[in-house]
Amino acid sequence: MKAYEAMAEAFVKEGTTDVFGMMGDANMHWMDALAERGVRLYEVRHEGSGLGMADGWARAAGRPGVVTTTSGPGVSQLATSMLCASRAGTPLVAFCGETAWGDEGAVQYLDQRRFAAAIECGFVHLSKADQAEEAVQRAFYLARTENRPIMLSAPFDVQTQDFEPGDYVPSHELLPRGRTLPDPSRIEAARELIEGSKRIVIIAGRGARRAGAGEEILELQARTGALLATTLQAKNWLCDRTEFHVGLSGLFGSKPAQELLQEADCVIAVGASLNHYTTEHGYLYPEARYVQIDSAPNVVMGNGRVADCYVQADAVTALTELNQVLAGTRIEGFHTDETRSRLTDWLEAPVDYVHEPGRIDPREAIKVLDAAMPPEFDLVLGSGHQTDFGTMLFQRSRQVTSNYGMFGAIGQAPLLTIGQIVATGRPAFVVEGDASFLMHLPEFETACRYGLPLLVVVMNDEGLGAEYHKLGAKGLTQDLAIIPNPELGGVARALGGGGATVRSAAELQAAVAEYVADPRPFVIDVRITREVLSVPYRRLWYGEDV
Amino acid sequence: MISITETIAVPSPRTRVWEVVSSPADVVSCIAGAELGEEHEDGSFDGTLVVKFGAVRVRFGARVHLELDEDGYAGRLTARGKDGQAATRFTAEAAFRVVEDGTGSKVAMDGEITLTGKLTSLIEAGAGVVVSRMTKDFSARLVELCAGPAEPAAPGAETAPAARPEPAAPATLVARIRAWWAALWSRRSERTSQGGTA
Repeated sequence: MKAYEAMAEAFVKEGTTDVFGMMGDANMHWMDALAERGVRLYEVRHEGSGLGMADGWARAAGRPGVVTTTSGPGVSQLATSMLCASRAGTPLVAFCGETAWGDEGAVQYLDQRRFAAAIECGFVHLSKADQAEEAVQRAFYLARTENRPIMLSAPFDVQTQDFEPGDYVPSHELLPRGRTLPDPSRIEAARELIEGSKRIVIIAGRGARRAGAGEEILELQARTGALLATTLQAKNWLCDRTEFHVGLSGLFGSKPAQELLQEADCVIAVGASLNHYTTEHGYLYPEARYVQIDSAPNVVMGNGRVADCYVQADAVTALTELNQVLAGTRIEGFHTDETRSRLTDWLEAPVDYVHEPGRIDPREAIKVLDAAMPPEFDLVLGSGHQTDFGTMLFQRSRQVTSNYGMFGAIGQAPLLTIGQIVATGRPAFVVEGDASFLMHLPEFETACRYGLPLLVVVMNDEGLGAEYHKLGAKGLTQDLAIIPNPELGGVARALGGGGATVRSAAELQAAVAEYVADPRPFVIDVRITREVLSVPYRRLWYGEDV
Repeated sequence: MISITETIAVPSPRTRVWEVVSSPADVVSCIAGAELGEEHEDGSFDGTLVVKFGAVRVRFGARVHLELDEDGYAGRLTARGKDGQAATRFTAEAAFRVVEDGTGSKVAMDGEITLTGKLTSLIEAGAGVVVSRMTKDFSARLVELCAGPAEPAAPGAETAPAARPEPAAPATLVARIRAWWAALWSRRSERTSQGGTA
């Protein structure tokens, strides 16, 4: 057996079923060996895009994604997407070919170890053929335990050397099993803190959702009269299960949400790191004491402090015990008619949409999309100014993925969506800006080639929306951020998918209906007005209380 | 850094305007969300200021120094402090001068506020807009206060004379307006201290 075959075999044993990337001299043997073993290979148009897809795949599947490149220029293409995956804490393994070991004069030579360090990923090197299995196991172990990308860099001459296979132990068998039980004294401290509070907010994060702690959270909420808020990564989770769901905690929260959250005297965070986005550096909870339930050994919150009561435990176990010790507790808290009204009045208030010929108000576009897209269709939120509208205004319960705050790169969301669809098999729609979509336009062709049920909704203001509005706020020339583009519905059809360019709410409804009736690669180019400034921008740039 | 360059036209005599702007308690009463705290031996005093950035309410505490040039009708105010989360620090310096302007006066202000810390990323350019809005609000209150007769310090100011009378039945329009402000301030202070939503 050759080393590349042993490595392919090891990847399969690690659970690899789908690999994204682009073939070259230094990874073709390994890819061939994977294909022989039934692994699905997704050939993409840019290595960085492949990594974005592996990132989306991993986030949806909950296990390491895999991307592959050839040596040198294939690796250097990974930079931006790797940084995004690293900031997102995504476990993935990048199998990167390398020029012949020690040949620094080779045309495609790159010091891949140093490059990996610069783009914030771990590094495992295959220096000898007899390390083939060990290297794969180590790469996956690091990805799983450190929750970050790992580059497995393999010189192609070493890959093709002989290898004597052993008994491969997949990295997941090296991990501890079972749930982390909470320290009883911490549960008691949490009980005391909660019972001494009157206005409690529970913040549910991605960790709580992954742990399946929904029922336990709702029970605790009912007992404590708490408002339920989520982080961006758990947006809209459980919003159909309680009328005291306040939506997002953070800049993207509604005005009543921000006002109510500032009244809290206790915050219970479940599977949420309480980073500076969620707490606005702590300013959103000026009077609150914190109970934090998390599986990590320790968490420093976004305000630079640790929780008043930190409970290291599995979310379900900790909440079950907390609910038991609070069995006799009933706090009215926020569960009043007045709070209910404040939460619903905001949603029901009429909106004075901007009417510009041939362009839709982005708020109206989001409302149409939210109503027309069935809840079983997953949503991915993109980047730029336009994403503020969807982040705030999508209200229905569905699986939502946000890439906000993960390095701030535009263009990643459609790639994440492709990977997510491959992992789940479910249709998904991504709401993205025109500059972002066009940045990786060729990958729509990839989605067409593989027949993926991907809907890209392009909120098209024909420009760099964020920059357009920031230029305005700074008194600079806004027109510099305007970049006209062709009708993208037609472009999508030319690439082999479906597509429509829409200029009214009715046209948007019709286009969504066409996609929903037959989910397939589809682009809806929604021409939106530049006249509407998002609420976060109004807050940040003009200090408006909205 | 946020710069403030403002000239406020006040239709009151210079002596009356000087009386107000040279009184920390009166000046504080013209700033929405501000309260005067303890006075120190060196003449400086503590102050607090609650500012809304968007929907988020932030409470700042500061040590304030006020230097006055009585003969020149001029002064210099410096303040240094931090917010309640201790995550943001600020310094503020402002020079002001009262000059005659026909039958009225003008107050010329020239100042700078420097914010450092976590809040700066949260409020972006909005801070300048908020300060500009507060300056306009201050101007309106200053004009209103100067239009009234000299009175004890404004409501909410802890260093105001202890004997400051609670106006049982304010007689003049100005007094009624001030009583209304006093009631409003009192409510704001209570609710803010509870992390409230005023």
